[in-house]
Amino acid sequence: MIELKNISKSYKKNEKVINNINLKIEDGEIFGFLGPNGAGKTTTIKMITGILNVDEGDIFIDGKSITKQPVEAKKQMGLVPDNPEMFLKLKGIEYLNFIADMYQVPVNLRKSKIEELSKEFNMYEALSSKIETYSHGMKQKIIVIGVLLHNPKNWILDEPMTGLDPKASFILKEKMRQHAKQGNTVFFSTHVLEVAEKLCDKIAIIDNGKIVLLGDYNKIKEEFNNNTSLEEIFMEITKNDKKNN
Amino acid sequence: MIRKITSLTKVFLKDINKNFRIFNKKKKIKLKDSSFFWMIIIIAIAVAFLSYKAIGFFNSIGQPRIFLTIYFIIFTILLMFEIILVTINVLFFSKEMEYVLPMPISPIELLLSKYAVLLVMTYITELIFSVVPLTIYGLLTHISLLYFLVMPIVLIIFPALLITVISTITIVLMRVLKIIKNRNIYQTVITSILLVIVLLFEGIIMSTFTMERPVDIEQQNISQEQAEQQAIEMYNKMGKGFLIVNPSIEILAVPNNILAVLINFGKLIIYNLVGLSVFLLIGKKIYLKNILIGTTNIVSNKNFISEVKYETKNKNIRKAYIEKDFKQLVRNPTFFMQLVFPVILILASILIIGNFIIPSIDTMIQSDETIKNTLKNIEFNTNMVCIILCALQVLFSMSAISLTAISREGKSAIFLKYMPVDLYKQFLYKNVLQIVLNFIVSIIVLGIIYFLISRIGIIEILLIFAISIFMNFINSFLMLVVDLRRPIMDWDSEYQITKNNPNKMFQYVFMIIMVLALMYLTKILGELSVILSLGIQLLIFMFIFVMINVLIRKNIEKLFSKIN
Repeated sequence: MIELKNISKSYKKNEKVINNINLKIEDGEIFGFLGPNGAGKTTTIKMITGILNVDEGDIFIDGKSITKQPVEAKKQMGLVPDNPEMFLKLKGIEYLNFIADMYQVPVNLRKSKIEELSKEFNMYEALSSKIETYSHGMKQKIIVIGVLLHNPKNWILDEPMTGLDPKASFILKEKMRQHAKQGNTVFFSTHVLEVAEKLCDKIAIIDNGKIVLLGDYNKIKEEFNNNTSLEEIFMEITKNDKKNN
Repeated sequence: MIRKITSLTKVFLKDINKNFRIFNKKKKIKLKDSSFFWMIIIIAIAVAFLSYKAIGFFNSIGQPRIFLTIYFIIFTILLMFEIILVTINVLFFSKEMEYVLPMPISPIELLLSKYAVLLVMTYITELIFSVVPLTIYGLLTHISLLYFLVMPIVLIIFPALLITVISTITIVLMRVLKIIKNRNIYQTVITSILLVIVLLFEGIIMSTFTMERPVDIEQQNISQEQAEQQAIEMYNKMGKGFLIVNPSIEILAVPNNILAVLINFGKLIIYNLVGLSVFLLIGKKIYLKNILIGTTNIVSNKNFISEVKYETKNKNIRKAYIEKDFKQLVRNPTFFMQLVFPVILILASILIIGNFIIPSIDTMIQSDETIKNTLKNIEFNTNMVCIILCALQVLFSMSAISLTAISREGKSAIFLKYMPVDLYKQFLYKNVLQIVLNFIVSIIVLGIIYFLISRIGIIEILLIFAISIFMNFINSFLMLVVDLRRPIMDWDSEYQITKNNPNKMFQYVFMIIMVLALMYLTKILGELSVILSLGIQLLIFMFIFVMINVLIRKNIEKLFSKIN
């Protein structure tokens, strides 16, 4: 479970980029975090994962505060960042072993998991090559495998579908569904509204640092009009919000 | 054609020096706010001080020209190392090549623009290391105004031949060694070969020179003037080995002799024209064929399955973390060459130069009875301890592994923040590589000193070693703090965080502060016995280290706050 309580953040004095956000992502949920460019999605994800400090409020990962018990909280989650250009000089297998060491995945388990996941994502044969030789999609896949490897209860994914080929994208979506079904949490941001539409149990739209829409996707649809697409809802909400500002 | 070359050179230079804010006209940063400006000032002051002392010494014995000869030989070696460390990257591994190659540019235009880039880079080095000492030389030796007219011309011409020779060898080596498929190994192997060639060259010249020096002045019963004259002749022979050194010295030593100046300029121009022609001729034939080696990544299709190496046992977090850091450092040729190689080169050069030059100076000193008697009475004292510790401090400042520990990660540095590893522990792990390298430097330097200076005891050397360990910790910790507070994570070229990193200014400032502190300690503890003085210094450095550590631990969250 991920819980954000009265979260605010500013980079400059008196200019809040995140303004008093409250969110609760229950176990077993896939939560889509949407918003236009610069709305505050990545800043929120960075605060949830401990990359950015929280100015006001607190964030709890399975009840562990990211500000007070950062190491314990981080053990409960796995992040797929928006930029997969990481650890380029390591070989794929070295990167996965490094992640397994950091999250203390036992040797036997990691071996079977690496084999299973890398074959599933069609990456097994590339594991012996350095990450710098991978295409963008392959880099994205190795990061995803790294997260799935230690099987954290809470998955946080920042634009995970970018650069993935259709097959990998399908597998990832299946994995997200499976993970949530097992009683875990999936929190992901995306620009691809069709993905959110098909995948999410709950969505939140953030604009100018504020949550402008939050709730069960099916209920939201009912509120608008059952035939309204998420794209239309998104356009409507963000347009209204701009008018209000 | 000239316009094309100028435009290309500008683009290549901008690509290399994206972080070199001193040239950034757009941002209109005031000169005094530029880290590079202050870095150049600091280095220039240090170089000026050393030159002033050295010129003063040679002036006092009536042989200022020896300064020019020694200076030019050392500077040529320094320039050669510098050119070797950048040439392969500029010629073959710059990322903009992929965009430039599809353009209608001839190989000659490309070669000349790359040559111009290398020239500009060496001019910056000259600006820092040459202009000040040579100006001081002119002022202290009261040479005519002509000296100040010919000096800039000599400096403009001087590095050209070194660049063409090294670039030609690099292009040929790239062609010969193209069987190596791994571009990182490729880069390191070629640079290592070039550096070994220079070191061997250095060694051969030095040994030829020492073979000819008088073995025993007293036995041969020669006068001081004769000994000095012999030394000058020997240095001249060394200069000849470098081809461009002697004509440059001749021009600067007797600028009033117009005929000699013209002849020597003629020599320099001919050498350079020949060098440039060979470079263009060979380059035109083989440069373009190899140019993409550096920018192409090859995913090998060999039998991967048998090569997937799983871990056979769980590694602890500390070991896995440090191992990852080590692999990232040594597998990136630019990082390895810019951060580790300089220390290795300096140690090798110390061994070579120390072995050959010091005995020759010793020969000159032996012929002077006053100096000889003074030297006889010198005991191992706190002043010598100070010199050893200052030398170690300078060597510690040569490598920027800690200073770039965060920046080297680039955009992926954010992993430090979301990994479930305590930030203070990560701070310690990030220091390990620098500390180990400095530790090795201390052992080698102190080992050499222990075997060279018979008067030094084992207790003294162990105490110096203990002090050097704490100096090492302090250096490494503080440099990592600098990188944490001013990380450069958004870089395209590794040069932005190695060679052109503005944070290096802090390393140089810290080095000067430490040297001054050591000198001050020597002054106030000078009356005490060496062992007591060393013991007190050890306690002082231990205390400073503990204080720094406490402060870091207390402010660890704040220190990592810039990584986001």
